[in-house]
Amino acid sequence: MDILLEAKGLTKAFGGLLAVNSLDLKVEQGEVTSLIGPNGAGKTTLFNLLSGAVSCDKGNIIFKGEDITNLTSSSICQKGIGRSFQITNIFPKFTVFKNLQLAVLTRRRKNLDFFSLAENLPKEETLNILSELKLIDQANSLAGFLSHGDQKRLDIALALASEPELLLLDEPTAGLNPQESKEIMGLIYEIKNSRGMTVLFIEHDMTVVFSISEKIRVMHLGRLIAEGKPDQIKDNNEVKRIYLGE
Amino acid sequence: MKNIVRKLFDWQLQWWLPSCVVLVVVGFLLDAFYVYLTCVMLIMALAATALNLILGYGGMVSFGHGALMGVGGYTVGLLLIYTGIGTPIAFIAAPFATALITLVIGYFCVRLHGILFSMLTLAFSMMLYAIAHQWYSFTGGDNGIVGLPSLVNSLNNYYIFVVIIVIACLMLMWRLVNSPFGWTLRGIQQNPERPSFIGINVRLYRMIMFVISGFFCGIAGALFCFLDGQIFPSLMFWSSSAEILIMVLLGGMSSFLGPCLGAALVVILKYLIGAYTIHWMIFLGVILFATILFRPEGIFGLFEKIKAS
Repeated sequence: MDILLEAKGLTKAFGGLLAVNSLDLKVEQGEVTSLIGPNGAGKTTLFNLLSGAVSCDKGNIIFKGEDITNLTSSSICQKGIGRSFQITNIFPKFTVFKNLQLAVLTRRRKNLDFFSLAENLPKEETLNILSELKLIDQANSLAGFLSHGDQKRLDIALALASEPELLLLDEPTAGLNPQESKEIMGLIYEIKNSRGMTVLFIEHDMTVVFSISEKIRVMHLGRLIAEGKPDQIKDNNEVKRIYLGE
Repeated sequence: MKNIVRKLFDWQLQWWLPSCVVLVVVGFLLDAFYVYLTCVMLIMALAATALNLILGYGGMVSFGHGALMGVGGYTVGLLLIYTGIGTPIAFIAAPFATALITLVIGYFCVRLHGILFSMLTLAFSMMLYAIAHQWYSFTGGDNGIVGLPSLVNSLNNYYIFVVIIVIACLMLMWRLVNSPFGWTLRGIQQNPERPSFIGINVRLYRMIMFVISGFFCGIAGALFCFLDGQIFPSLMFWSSSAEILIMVLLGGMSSFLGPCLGAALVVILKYLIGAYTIHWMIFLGVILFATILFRPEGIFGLFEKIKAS
């Protein structure tokens, strides 16, 4: 399979702390993989590096054959990497519909349109994404008043609206009850199938991780220490030692 | 035909045109002093709305809009005394010159958020003030520039001109905040972090809105300069920037027309109560205090709440 994203020798230090330590990563086109690891392993920092939220000290990131190292987060997003956040990150004073409308307008590069009335723009496409993520009933509620589960879904919807080829999900089920997490992961799988997107997600819930991932990567102290099919990871001694606590 | 009518409604002309007519008619009924006062109100309403473009819609608290008005005014003044160009061209040049200065200021300011942004705008405004106030050989220093030719022949005609320009600018700005660009800015105001991850270049859009805001402020400054036929550095002092900020807070930065209301209120207090006592600021202070404490969304926000219920 084609390599969609490749990171070589990625390094990021915060003061004396090496959050990501010369990490190599290859993400293949169309795979759904999870990234696990104990707290402080550097998973979110890795996402921040890939999405341009922080700049890396050393190393390269190649996306679709193009060097995207240290580009701004907005241009990385335009090149096709979308992400959601661990702590929901939405526009609280907009309605759900308007949240997505803004993302769709942006993907269509309509932000510099000064004199059209925005409320009439990409209605249909916005509604499509809303129904895809089962948010259609909440379309007119203010995003800030949604339940936590719905906000999580909206966060993912915002990432999807920019039609990324690689979707990075940072703990999509954090703080959700088992029923809600199941729903969200079901949705992600559906979307992956219908859009043929590549998904990389950070997750702590092991039932979710082992049920949905085609491949699991394990991070520890800023490095990838294991990578493989769920069964291989279950049997990996080092992973057991540092992560599963056996 | 139907299409044209819809287009006009899209621009809210059913509101703007009647307001224009009402204001013009009112102008004929009032004494010269009140015509003058209404002129000042309209001009300050324009400046306050321009500030609100970046404050209410962009989340940027600027302490430099008085200075930007001053740039507009001084552009007119300096062009008229140093070059032989006519008053209309000086008037047209003002907003563009102001936008240019705003571009330079904005280039540095939009990198910062919150209090740092405000302090940097304040620093720039003090520099502009210093230039106007102390460069005697060029700007006339604290003597200002006086005795400028007027744009039209009488106060009443100038009043009509101001009404038309201000309403036209308000119309454009209303359209702007409801455009995809305006929404982008509102998104940035609510959450400065997320927009980059849906592909929005936050700095660029903040910058553009800052320049647009400066452009309209420049128009307000030019109008102000032609009203009296003179311009003084006091317009660029930080207290005048604060006054515009107070207008926006008082009227309500969450609504489009709030700053206009705030401007009218402050001007009335300043000129009417100011005619009786130099302590008019006390009244303003009490009103501002009550507004911020009880109606943080501003006086206009109160109207909207009543309308909604």
